[in-house]
Amino acid sequence: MNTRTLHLLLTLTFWLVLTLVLLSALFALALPLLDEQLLTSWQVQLAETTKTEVILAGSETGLLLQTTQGELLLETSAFSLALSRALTILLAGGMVSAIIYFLRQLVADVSSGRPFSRRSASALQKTGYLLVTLPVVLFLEVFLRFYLFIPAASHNSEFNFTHIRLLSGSGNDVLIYPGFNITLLLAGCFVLVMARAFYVGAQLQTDNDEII
Amino acid sequence: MPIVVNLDVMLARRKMKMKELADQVGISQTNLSLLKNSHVRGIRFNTLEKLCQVLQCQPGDLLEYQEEKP
Repeated sequence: MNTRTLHLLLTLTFWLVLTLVLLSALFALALPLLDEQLLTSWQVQLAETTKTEVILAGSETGLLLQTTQGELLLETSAFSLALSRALTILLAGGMVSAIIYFLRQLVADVSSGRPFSRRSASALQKTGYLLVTLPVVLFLEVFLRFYLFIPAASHNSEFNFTHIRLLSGSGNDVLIYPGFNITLLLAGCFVLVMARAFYVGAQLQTDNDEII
Repeated sequence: MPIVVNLDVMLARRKMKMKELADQVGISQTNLSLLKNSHVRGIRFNTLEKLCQVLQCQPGDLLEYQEEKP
């Protein structure tokens, strides 16, 4: 694939992602106005595992089903949840759109035949920072959403930095572990190193241009 | 910059025009003009070699060190 095609694809992707983000945010805001229930969920682990025996049909062999994980669902028609969801979509979607936009800028510089410029180095640096920030934002959003929307969350839970322990009345506590995308973080670090290399490249390019 | 390029002196001695020199050396007139006015950071050995070859002179005839006044 040549750089012109890649640039065209990235332009299309950028506009597509931006349109989808805006439509999704508007959709999230419109749902409570249409009296639709909003659903929010958290991936959870059970503090105590429950074991159920499964007997296979036509056999006396029993299998043990061990339940350790699940999904905590909250259904609400509160406008605040719609607003929070719309903001999350705009924030995360905006970051993804910005990453695509900066990559598009980099591809444009590469196709111009002068990839080592301050503009491309700056675009790479911004992409790197966004890639590092994105998993952190998504990680923190899980905690924030929990404390904003679970009724009396501060009384019914323990905050442990890496997870929240939701104290259940029935004795089986539920642990909420927000997912952390380490791949995005590593990709961000790699892109930041590349950005540094591009800054050095841009300096060498300037030196080369000023030597006849 | 304490290094002065005496390209205009050599061009006058050889009765040569900038365009003619640029064509023979193989660099643009813009770059040659930048070099003449000492607006460049450096000069490559192969450019200097071509200039000396075309102008039939030594590098010292083109470049001169002048001490900066404090």
